[in-house]
Amino acid sequence: MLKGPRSAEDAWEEETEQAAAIQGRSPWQLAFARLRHDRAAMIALGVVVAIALVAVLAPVIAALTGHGPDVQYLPPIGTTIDGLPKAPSAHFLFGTDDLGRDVLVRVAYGAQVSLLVGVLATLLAVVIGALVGLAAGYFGRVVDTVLARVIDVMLSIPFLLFAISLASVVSVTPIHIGPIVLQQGLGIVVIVIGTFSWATVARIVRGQVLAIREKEYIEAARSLGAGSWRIIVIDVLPNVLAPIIVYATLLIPLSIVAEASLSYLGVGIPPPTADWGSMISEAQPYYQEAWWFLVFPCLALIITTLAFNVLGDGIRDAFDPRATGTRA
Amino acid sequence: MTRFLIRRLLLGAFVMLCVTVIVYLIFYVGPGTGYVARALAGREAPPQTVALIAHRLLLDRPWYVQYGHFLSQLLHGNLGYDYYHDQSVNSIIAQAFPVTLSLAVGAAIIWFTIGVLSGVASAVRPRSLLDRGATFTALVFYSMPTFVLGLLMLELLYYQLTVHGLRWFPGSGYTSPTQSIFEWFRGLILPWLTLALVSAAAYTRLTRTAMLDVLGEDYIRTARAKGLSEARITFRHALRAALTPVVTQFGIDVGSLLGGAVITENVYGLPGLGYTAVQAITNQDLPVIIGVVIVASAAVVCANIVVDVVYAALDPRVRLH
Amino acid sequence: MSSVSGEPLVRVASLVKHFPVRGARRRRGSEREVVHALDGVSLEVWRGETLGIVGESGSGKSTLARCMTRLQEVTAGHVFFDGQEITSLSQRRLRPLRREMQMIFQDPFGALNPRRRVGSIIGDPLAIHTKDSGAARKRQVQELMELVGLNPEHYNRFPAEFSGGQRQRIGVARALALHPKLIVCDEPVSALDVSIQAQILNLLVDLREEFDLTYVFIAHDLSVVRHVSDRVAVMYLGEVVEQAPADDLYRAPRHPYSSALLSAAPVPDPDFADSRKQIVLVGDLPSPIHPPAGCRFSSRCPRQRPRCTVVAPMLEPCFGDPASHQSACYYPLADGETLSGGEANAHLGPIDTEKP
Repeated sequence: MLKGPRSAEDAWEEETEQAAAIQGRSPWQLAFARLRHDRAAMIALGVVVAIALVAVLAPVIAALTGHGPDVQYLPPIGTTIDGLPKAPSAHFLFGTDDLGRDVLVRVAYGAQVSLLVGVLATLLAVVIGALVGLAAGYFGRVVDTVLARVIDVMLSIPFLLFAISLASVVSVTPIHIGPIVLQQGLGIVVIVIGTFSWATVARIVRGQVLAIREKEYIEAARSLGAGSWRIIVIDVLPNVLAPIIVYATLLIPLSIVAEASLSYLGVGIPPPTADWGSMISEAQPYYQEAWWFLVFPCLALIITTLAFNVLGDGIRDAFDPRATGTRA
Repeated sequence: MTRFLIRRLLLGAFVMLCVTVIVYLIFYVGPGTGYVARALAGREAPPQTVALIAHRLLLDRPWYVQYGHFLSQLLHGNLGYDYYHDQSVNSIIAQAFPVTLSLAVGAAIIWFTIGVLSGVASAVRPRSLLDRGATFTALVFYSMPTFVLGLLMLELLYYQLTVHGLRWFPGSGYTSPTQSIFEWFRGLILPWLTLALVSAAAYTRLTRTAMLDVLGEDYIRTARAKGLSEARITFRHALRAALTPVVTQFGIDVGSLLGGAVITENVYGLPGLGYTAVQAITNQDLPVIIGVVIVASAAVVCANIVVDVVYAALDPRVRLH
Repeated sequence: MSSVSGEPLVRVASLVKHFPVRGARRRRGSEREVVHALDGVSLEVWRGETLGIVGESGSGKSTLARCMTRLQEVTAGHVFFDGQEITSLSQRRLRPLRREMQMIFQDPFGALNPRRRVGSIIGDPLAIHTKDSGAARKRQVQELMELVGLNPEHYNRFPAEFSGGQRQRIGVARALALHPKLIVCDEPVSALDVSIQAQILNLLVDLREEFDLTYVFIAHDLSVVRHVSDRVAVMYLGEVVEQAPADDLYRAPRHPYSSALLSAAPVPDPDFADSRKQIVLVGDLPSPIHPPAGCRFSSRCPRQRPRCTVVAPMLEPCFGDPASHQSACYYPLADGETLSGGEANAHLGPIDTEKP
């Protein structure tokens, strides 16, 4: 068996072996370690987990307080005698709303909707966007031209206007496009938000792929006889994953806000489902008499969005420490 | 350069064409012909009116004929007719546009100035108290949905002040500048602030990141070694390079805004494009909805073209692509 | 040197590769502007030999390597591998052939995917072309690692944890995985420190003996090429200007350009280096978009005469050279003659003790 010549390099190798018996960390592990040391991000992660817990345990909260999310308590328990919401008390920790429902329980159930839509819409956007971006960036020429135009068109349509128009039409009658039927509900909100978010993901991915495509290791893979999709998945994707993850984490709060905006305008999840956006919209006329009705859903929304944004920033810094201006 | 411009315009036209196809498919074809005619006629209309409208709009013809008609109308600048308000859609949009324009331009100036300046200040002293403070504030505002901030401002700056006798701002409504510039201004301050604060936050972050990238470049280090003052380096050299992504984003954002800042207009009751659209939606007023969506898309496409052309004028490499 | 036998393993016939110039204005009626990367290159590589290809940047050597392995599509001409014409094969039909020809790349930092583990990188060809199980692949990969002088226990490390020389060894191991017939080395040591270069070169030579490999070795450094090659081809601006067995070329270069290249190669003895006359070529490299008529080297050649700019000279033996030594020049250098008129064999430096 042939051995390489003994040299300074071999000596160096032995040195690093001892040192590296402890090291040998992958780029992922390094990023993870940096994230763990980012206190703000860790706190944000804790908040996100807490919110998720609240969402999951919403039925438990309902059971504990004894109030369901849709149960309207008649005066004088649920509302004052004049029909106004009741202030926070031992009985209703966050007070009641204009229909005598428990605000605390509704906020908890609202978390379910927000998180569900946020995560699902982001997932949809990322999957579609990554596929389109990878194909456009790697295959180039015709495929790229066509897909890039599609991305352009998608980015030109104003999201909110289109979404509310679509939702309003759908609330009256389902839309049939060929075999596809669009109906009111959680599904269409997720689809609409996802449909308007994938284009940005695709653009980011495409840019990254174009940068990677000319690298020698891609050429090497081609010279080995690897098929296009194998190269895309095994060689290109791992190098593109980092920006995708960063953007996805920042996309979640954007989706949550989008969903809340839709509900606020009355075209999101239909009532009586508890939803922060619609709660805020319902609370508007009462903001003078019943501040709690408006404040708690607002706080919930702000805190959730803030937590995800801080976490997203932390993840971005973990993958690319230069951006903060700190030592690497 | 002219070739680039022409190519870019053709691309824009193509994108608009695709948009019209999508809009048409979703709003005319999707819900079925019964819905369209009824929606156009308005909810109260008798069946004869509905049938008449159906016939006039060629709803009994195959869909490609309808689309052809739709497209040719569009190319003649006719966005349709609003039976509900008995006005042409063109005039409705023409009335609403100046409002949106006032809102968009005013807010844009404010957010660009605040955003870029605070972003530069942050980048120049990274990790300092100023930086952390600015970054945190930006983060908080960035995480606030526009309607939440709007409601907050209404509550604090309008309601609380008014209750205490300081009628500084009107609660809602718009006054045209032709009537009274002062009132026009007064009515727009709160909406401007609402829109601007949220966007400024995004621009602070964007500028900060871009500036940090540029400040780390070798040629900045060379400039310092040459003895240039920090201020000169920051503003004349670094900022110029860093502004490119910011300006690109700015162009796109303003374009989107010109299509109607839906939420802000609704919170403050400003009768701009966004407000008109929401009203139309409540009334199921299809021509107006479609008209606004198309105008808004056109605004975005135009803004993109402007941004691309400016970019190409500044950076010749882009033209060769 | 090693034995040379039978049919050429690789035959390149009149290979032409033109790259379109991006952004160039299209003049009415005339053709699009192109960069003439390769203009009619014909070569043969025999089984078991090492063909060195030298030339300066822009001579087309890297393009030639890529066209040979069909990493680039050719504009015209043919490439034959093991008797089979491969230029017109579909990608699918080409795949099994890729087992037989592999490449080693120049940049040790760019040629390995930074996000993949080394074991996975080396095992890639096995994963693509064989149905071996993961465990079997791992075993083979570790054998290969040991073969090229790497510690097999570093199987799960990332490329960033290796030095430049080690990474190049990884590249070699990857190329070797399927025991190909041909390995094309595209400037494999150009990016390495001089002390490491020797190790990698020696590794390549040892492996050639062990596995009966055929190399096409591309470089711009003549002393490097000399150490490993049996035959050498000199390229200039997309054409081969001289081909010869290595010894013949170094002893008696016929083409003025070869002579100039050789004179520029540094020699170890500084006194001798000062004393010999350097040939400095005057003039600029012509544009590859508009190559000059006639001999492409004529604009810089001190021996240029009117005939040179009219029709390009053919590649053929001169002065009674054997068929193996060909050059494309109307006024080739005779034995002992140099461009500057200085000492003959000055480029060889003091007595050569390296050759076996």
